Amino acid sequence: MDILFLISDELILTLIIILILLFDILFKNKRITGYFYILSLLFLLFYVIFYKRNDSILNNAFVYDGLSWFGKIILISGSLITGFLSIDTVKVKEKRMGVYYILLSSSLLGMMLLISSKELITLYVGLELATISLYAVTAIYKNDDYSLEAGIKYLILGALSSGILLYGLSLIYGATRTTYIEKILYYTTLPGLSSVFILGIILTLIGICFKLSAVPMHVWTPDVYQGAPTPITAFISTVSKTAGFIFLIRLFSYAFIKLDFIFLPLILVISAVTMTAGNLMAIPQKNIKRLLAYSTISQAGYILVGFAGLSVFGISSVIFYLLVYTFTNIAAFAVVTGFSNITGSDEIDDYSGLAQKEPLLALTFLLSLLSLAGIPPLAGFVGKFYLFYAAMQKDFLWLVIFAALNSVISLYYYLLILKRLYIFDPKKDFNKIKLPLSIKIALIITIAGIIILGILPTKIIDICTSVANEIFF
Amino acid sequence: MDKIFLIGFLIPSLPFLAFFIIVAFTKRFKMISALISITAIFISFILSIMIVLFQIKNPAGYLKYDIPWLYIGNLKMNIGIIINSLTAIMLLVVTTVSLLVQIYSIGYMKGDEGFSKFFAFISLFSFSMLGIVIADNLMQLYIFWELVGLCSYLLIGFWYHKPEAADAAKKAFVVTRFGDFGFLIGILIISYLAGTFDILDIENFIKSGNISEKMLLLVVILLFCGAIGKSGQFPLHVWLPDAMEGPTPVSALIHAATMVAAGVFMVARLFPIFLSSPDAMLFVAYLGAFTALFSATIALTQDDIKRVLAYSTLSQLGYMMLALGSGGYVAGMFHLYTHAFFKALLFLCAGSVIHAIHSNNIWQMGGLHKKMPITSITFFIAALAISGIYPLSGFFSKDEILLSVLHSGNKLLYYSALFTAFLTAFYMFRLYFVTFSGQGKEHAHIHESPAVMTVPLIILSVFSIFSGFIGLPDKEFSIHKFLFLDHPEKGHFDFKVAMTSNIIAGLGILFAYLVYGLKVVNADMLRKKAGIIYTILKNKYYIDEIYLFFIRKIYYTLTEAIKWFDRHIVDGAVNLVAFLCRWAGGKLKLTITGKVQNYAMYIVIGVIIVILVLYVYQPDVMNIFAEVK
Repeated sequence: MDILFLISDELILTLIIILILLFDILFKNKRITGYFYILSLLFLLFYVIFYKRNDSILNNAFVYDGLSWFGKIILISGSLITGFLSIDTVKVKEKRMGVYYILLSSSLLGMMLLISSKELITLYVGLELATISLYAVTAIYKNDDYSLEAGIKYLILGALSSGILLYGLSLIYGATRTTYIEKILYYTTLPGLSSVFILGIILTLIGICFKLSAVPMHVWTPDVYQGAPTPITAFISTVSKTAGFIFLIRLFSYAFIKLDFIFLPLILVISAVTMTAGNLMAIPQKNIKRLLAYSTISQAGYILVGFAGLSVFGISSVIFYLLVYTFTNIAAFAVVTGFSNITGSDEIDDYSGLAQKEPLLALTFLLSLLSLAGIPPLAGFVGKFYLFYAAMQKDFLWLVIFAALNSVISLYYYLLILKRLYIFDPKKDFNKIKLPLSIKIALIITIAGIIILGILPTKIIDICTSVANEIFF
Repeated sequence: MDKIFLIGFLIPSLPFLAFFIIVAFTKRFKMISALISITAIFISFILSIMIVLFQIKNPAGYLKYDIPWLYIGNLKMNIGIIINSLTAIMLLVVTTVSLLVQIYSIGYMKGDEGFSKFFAFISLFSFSMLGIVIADNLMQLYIFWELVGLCSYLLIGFWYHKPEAADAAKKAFVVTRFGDFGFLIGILIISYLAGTFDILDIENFIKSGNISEKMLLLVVILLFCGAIGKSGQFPLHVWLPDAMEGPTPVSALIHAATMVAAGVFMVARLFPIFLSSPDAMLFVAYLGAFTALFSATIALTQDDIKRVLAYSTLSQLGYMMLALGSGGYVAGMFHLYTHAFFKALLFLCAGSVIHAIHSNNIWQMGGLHKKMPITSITFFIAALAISGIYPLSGFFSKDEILLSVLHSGNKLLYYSALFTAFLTAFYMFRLYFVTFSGQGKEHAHIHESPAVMTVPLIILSVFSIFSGFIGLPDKEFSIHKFLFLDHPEKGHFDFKVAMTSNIIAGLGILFAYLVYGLKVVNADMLRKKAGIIYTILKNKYYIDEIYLFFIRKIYYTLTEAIKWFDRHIVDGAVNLVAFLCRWAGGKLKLTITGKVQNYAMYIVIGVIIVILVLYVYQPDVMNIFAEVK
């Protein structure tokens, strides 16, 4: 297959970045940049969906398989909706608006590279490109203390976790003398395990937990989520997390699969601790972005449950949930974006009576929170059901019970919000500002996703299963 | 997807869409809400006619379409529709009645605060019922079944500020729940045994004989429990008379096409399953006959116009069950179909009267014929139809039922059905004569209802007269050639049975005329003669009181102890957990200090802990220090 065709997704995205740069210089009106970003990503999304490729280049360092195809669809859809959220709400000086979209796109480029590579250095480079762009865009509000603080914290802790990850990767290289995942897989079948290799695996696992915001790497989440511009928070919590999980699949469901007796208990414990910590700390929160930050931590815990499943089934359940989660969580952040655009507030108390003032916002929040809690017939129910079912196939009953109990706890704080939305009377005077059309579009897209994935998931699950199969055969 | 499936999916979806639009957008604009709701059901009605026309071409055929919903492991759940003659005829009944009731409601509910809400609920109600009709698997059927229950709760308690209405709504919901519980267990057992929820697959499974007779009997009785609750069969009939606390159009809808019809329809839908257990069929027949007679006797003594009609519904439902239990699949459904029209008509007439008088008590009415001629005439037609007078619709379906009972060979059931027919004619015309004939009280302001209410009455009375003709045997349009189980039947006509039933009904009417029309026989004297029997009937056999006795004396005492346990032990545990969660959340929150140096420390400590734990728990793979040496 033609190499150019194989990497054309990445090439197109690079071209888009260059064009955004040009648009930024040429046009005074920065909204055009935003429209261009949205339209080009829409094009890219359809391009990816319709041209599924299957090949690898550079000795398997760069592959285009089902997993990267499906992953790209999730990443691009997430970035696209982030674009809808940004266009009318991100209020930075006109000069920096172009930079905003460039950073978003380059982060996306890094992630696309990350999920397509089967070689440690490429993986790492993709990861860094993705993360460093995010550090910068987090701090895009130059005059806002919270935004700056979030950027700095994200940078410092990200650097620390990168160090741990890189240390792990280099230990793996030291033990196996290779950076190619296929060869590492071969190495694990040889007799005699090196302890250095094991240590490398463990450090890699902990390092990647940073991207997943899993315990013990979850500490940055609330501060960064709160300080970052809300569309960026949506992006970090969904797109970036998806990339992290696909990284985890590439390494832990494939390269190290033979050693799962060593790391699987660890993943399961991390999963259990992560969901509990996230849920418990979400309860006392007063700020909606912080609450959702903890909620995403607990969601990461649920997704990790899928790794307990049998290989194909487990991967399939994880990537299906990633898709569901992306739509559901972006929906929640879309509401937060829209709400703060109208009222300028992120306090949960101010959401009282929203259903009377802005029914569409309230309805989206209702659907997304119930979906996050796993209430049928919404997407989250099917996703969680599938994850837990995968874990049950390997008889991890304790974990499933634990996760189900956690869902109940999460329902508690979700319902507290919904009670404010629908039962309380409005406390705050809502401004006369109308909800921008772009936000409405994002809300409707995500609602459709939540409902359709909940009612007719079978086709998508079939795709997920075949994608998961492709990894092994 | 075939066009016909699209239509099948659209029919229930449109009322749901109407519900959604009204709730989300047009709550404030009353007339627009009503228009949306009526337009939706009107299109559904047209589409239902298309389905009927489609089905007439090939009555024996059925079409089935499944969309996979949840396929995980062995669990397979579909969203599917099945279109056969049963579906077609039921779709037609539900959409017709619902359409007319909604048009009527524009007049009846005029000026009500919850006008839009009313139409939203009615749309939801129609959606749920249509969902039951097209469901091709038990899970889906059950979901819509419960939705119907919910809607009846919402609509019966529509005027929730009236305590009676709120109580009646609660009663309807709780009482039917007993039946639903059995229904659910039945569904779960049979689906577990058959390994599928699909109705046709379950039927094939039963035909294959892989299930013991006793198990089958149990399953069928459990399934029938659902129908007992929903269709108000003894002993769960108590909710239906109280349900008249809702607005009258709702009563018409509940009694004619939606809620109570669901039970009968379910038995018809699962008829092959019922048929495979003769004992269960006998049970259905006896219970139906008993309910028919039992409620007809109560109807003799009631003073509330809607209550009389409610007991008559119970009685007619018993008739349908009797027909189904005697193997009269066509007869039961045929009666459901004709009954829908004249019972909706009766209720809407009652509504028209109540709208004018502002009272439900029949002794405060009288002489209304002159003031409300259209209501009076249409009521008269409906009364004739329900009494089974030739050639109105009720005659044909009742005749069909009597025939199928006679063919089953059970004389006891046959005579009890005949006696019920006599009682039916009597109480219906008691109602008619008391309400419409005679001098009447002084009500100066009474006048006929507006056209938006009377036109549906006229349309329904036309249906009540002519809809029975499809029961004529051996005609092109005969129902026996459309609706059947295995092969078209010829349809029977037994002159003797027809004459007997007509004479008996005529006697009933004559008797009512003598007592309440001409008043040659003094009603009070009859009442005194009947003495204790009258008192028992008047108090509806004290069934409610018996239930209340059990609930107050026995159940409450029992539950006191359980309540204590629940309050202190169970709730205590729950509250403790909740408190612990909140407490732990509050403490854990403190770890997020906002200081980045603390965060970095957590991370490093986390890494160390993980490695240490692994070293303890798998020392041989982690003997890294040895290796370094």
